[in-house]
Amino acid sequence: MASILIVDDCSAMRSVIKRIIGISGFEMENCFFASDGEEALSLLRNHRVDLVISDINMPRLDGEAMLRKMSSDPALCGVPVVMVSSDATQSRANRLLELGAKAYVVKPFQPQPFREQLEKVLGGVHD
Amino acid sequence: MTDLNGLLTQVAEDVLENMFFSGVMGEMEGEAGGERLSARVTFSGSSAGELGVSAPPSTVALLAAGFLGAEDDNVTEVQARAVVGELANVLCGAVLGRLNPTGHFAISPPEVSHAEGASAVRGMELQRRFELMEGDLAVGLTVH
Repeated sequence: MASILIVDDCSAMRSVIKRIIGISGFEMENCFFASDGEEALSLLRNHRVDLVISDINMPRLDGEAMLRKMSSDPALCGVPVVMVSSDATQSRANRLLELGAKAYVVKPFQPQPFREQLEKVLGGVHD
Repeated sequence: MTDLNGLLTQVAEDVLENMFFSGVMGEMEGEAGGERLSARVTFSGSSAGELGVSAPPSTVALLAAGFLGAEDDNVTEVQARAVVGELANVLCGAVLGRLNPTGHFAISPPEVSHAEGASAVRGMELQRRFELMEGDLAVGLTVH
């Protein structure tokens, strides 16, 4: 089981991602929510999180900036990040993968393929 | 030359099925009327333009219920607005990704509005009205 942090400024989207993970059968020990990168970083410094699933376009601190801060923080650089976005262009995906994201998932996505991505990033089966 | 009509239909089907657990039953003629909840996003970068969506509030409530896994009579106005905005956002990203997979784009946050008629879609170059089980969804696209 894994502790997941879902980061998105849209509360509906946070709920949907959690729901899709649940539909896929992926077991979560904990599921934390943050509405932007600042909130996410604060949560990460106070809770054990095994995986971050993050949107890109958010106020205060966006997904790309959050990724840069995590990569440069020794306490956070080991936490894998999966970016989720409506931007289906390869250029965006490449940039975020180069910045350290472990996967880039384009909306819309289906439960099973999403679960497979999460398990690949975490390096194991979670059910 | 890309068939934008076909692309818009394909993307709408894909998004509605995979994220909203809905589906396109066919296309409808004529302009949508009555009270509608609409969302519009603009995009810039390799191409510029805008995409809009519009649906009756009852359709949005049902789509939001599918999206959120909730009962449609439990969907709040805030959730409905968030969902119609997200629908416009995801449709736009999917269209741009297929139109130009190697391009660079920035999509604006959605502008959501409640108005008579499909105001977010009117005036756009390409307009489609899809029949859904939940009602109807108008989608418009302009690429400059």
